[in-house]
Amino acid sequence: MKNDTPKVFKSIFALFVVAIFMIGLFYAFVSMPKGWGVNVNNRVSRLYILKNVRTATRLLDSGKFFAKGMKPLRAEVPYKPIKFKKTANLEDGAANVVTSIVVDYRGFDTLGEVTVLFLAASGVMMLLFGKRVKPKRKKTEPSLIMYVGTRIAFAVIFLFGIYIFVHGHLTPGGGFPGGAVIASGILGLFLGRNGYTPNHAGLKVFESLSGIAFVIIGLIGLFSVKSFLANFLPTGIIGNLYSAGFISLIYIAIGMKVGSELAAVVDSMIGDTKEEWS
Amino acid sequence: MNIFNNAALLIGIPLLFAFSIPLFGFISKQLTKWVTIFVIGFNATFSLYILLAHKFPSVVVMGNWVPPFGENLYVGPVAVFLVTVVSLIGLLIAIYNLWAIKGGDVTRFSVLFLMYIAGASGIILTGDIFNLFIFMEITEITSYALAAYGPERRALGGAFKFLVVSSIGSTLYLLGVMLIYTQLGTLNIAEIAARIGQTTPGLLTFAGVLLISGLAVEAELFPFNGWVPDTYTGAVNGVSAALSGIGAIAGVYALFRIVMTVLGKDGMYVLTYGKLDLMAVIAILATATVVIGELSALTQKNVKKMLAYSSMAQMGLVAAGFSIGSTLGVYGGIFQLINHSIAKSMLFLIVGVLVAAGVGERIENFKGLWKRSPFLSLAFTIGAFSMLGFPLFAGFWSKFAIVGASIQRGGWYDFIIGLVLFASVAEAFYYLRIVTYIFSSTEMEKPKIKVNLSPAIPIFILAVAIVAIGVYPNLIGNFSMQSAGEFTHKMKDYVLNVIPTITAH
Repeated sequence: MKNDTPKVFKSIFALFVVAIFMIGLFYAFVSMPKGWGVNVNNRVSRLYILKNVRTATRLLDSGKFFAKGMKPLRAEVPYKPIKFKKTANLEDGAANVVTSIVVDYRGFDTLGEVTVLFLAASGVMMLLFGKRVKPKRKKTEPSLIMYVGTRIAFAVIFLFGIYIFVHGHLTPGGGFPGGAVIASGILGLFLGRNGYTPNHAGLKVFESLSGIAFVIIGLIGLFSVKSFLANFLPTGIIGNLYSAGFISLIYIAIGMKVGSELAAVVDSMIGDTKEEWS
Repeated sequence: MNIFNNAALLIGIPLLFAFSIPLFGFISKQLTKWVTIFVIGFNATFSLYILLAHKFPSVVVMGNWVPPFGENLYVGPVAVFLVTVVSLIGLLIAIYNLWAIKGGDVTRFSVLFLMYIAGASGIILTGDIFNLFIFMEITEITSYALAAYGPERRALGGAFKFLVVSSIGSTLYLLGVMLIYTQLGTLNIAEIAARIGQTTPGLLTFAGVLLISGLAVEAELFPFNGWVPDTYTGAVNGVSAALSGIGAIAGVYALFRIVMTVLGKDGMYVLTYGKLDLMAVIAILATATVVIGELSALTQKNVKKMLAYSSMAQMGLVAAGFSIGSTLGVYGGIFQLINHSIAKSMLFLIVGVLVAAGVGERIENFKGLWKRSPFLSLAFTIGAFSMLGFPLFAGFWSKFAIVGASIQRGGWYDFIIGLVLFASVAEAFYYLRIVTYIFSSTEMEKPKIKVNLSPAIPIFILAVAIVAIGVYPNLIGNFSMQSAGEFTHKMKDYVLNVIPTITAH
């Protein structure tokens, strides 16, 4: 749209688009089905129903959805209670259900997400690439409290970040938040001291190595269990630190990668560069 | 269900090397470009092996969870064929980049270019709609970062436009995925395809419109393709070639995988579920794309901008071919898609060589090119003839197939005959104008253009490929015909290969 278009038309157009969107969404949700009548015999397998919690509970409580001559599932599959710190060798073994879905069942998506973040950081750094120049503007010197405080806080924040991604399979959190927490600690260092520069080569190596580690964990799965990103370690006892197989390994790799990547992005955005094209 | 898990290396190896390229960058910047060539070469040979050793159709199980529960890649005829084409064209452009990419952050450029190819292969291979979204993000982020690369200011403008449009597009796509997930509780393409009849028609229509709007951004269909001219013109020529040769394949594939396999009905001519036939909607959008693209290309004086508009119009033709919905139509669409990728990426590479030699991008600058470089002139002429569908060049056979398919379908689809003819006439006008300029003589003697080996190899191979397909169309045609069935007979050729126990609803 050109800039000389009257503002009224722009607003009307925007309202029109939003209205279409809202009406469509409203209509879609109004016309949602009321019941969940599902013919079990047409589904993939009877065990499949157990994966869909909502349908499974309905079907287990009342046997009316089952076809004639089909035994109720509860008799077939005995109910086994799962006890924290006692039950061993579960299908996945992570106490945190979100983690087990994110890293184990849909681990390939997570590999993709890590790559998306890596590529976004690479793109930013490619655009801001150039010779470092001294910034022209005057900087105010941070106070003593800031200087000392950020350095003390950095150790605590760093430790907390590591805790979050190491315990990803037990408590809420995981690699992405843990890495973000670590990067925020490094941001504190930038604020606390004028002219602070992290070790660029170190960050780069760290970032690359942790990314390589993730893919190599996947490749080990391909060559030992014959499936990419498959769990090749025992799942252990639920609730223990050493449980849930390769989930904690992957989360450590993700945490280190996200932390170093965000720190590198912050670094490249703070510094002033001058473009140079040969 | 055949399981062929080693095909996961098609994604795994590029990822591994993409993460390690910064380490290679410490040794030498030139080395990173060679690593890119090596990895894309591995992808090309491996996918060529799968294609020729007939390892398909098979399923790649990810994380040892069988298809409806975990994620899977589907290595079907379409996927193998398109991945082979994508990696071969990517390999050629990577060889060109060896010469073209000099200044700036070469290391990161190599990472992004490698992941662009890998992301496009991922879109084509995946069998899960959310995974498709992830790979869409990967290709889009890499493509707008790549489009912003270069010393020129206009690159940034084009890249920013693409960033805004594609972010909105992928959000809409995600919303559509969410609506389908509320209904069926699954993200697996095969399972959704089998059970799509269980959803309510109103919701399905809205979800379908959202999915199409999201995917049409990369497939360059009419209301969503405002980014095309600026991004293609602003980007470095190697990147423009990749955008038109690789991104377009992935975008069109994703669009029609969703519309024909996920939302479509099995039948002689594919229609979609819901209150609205989305195939007809796409036919209308495709028509608008062709008409607007061709008419805009006619008025351009800048060759790169003209190629960009022509690329848009060709995508419209591809979509029109697919929207006929019969096997012959899809065959024509895929064939046209491949021909367009080969010819258009070659034309962009030639323009890149000419710009580097100081010729310039405007049409007048092409005057007397025959005297200065016979090789580039001949290659440009071959590409132009293929684009406009001259007999004995590749483009002729695919346009012929699209016309044949619309005659076979009959009804109101007959207008596609007129559409193809209109496109050919318009293309003949603006491509032959350049060809005339190339072969006309000038008074002034200008120095000869020296073409390095590294850009000459890809241009030569692509030109030979166009002539070879034109003389012997079954080279590509056989594979396209095999692939076409996968789109039109979704239960037999797609769903049952992934989940053998499922029944359609």
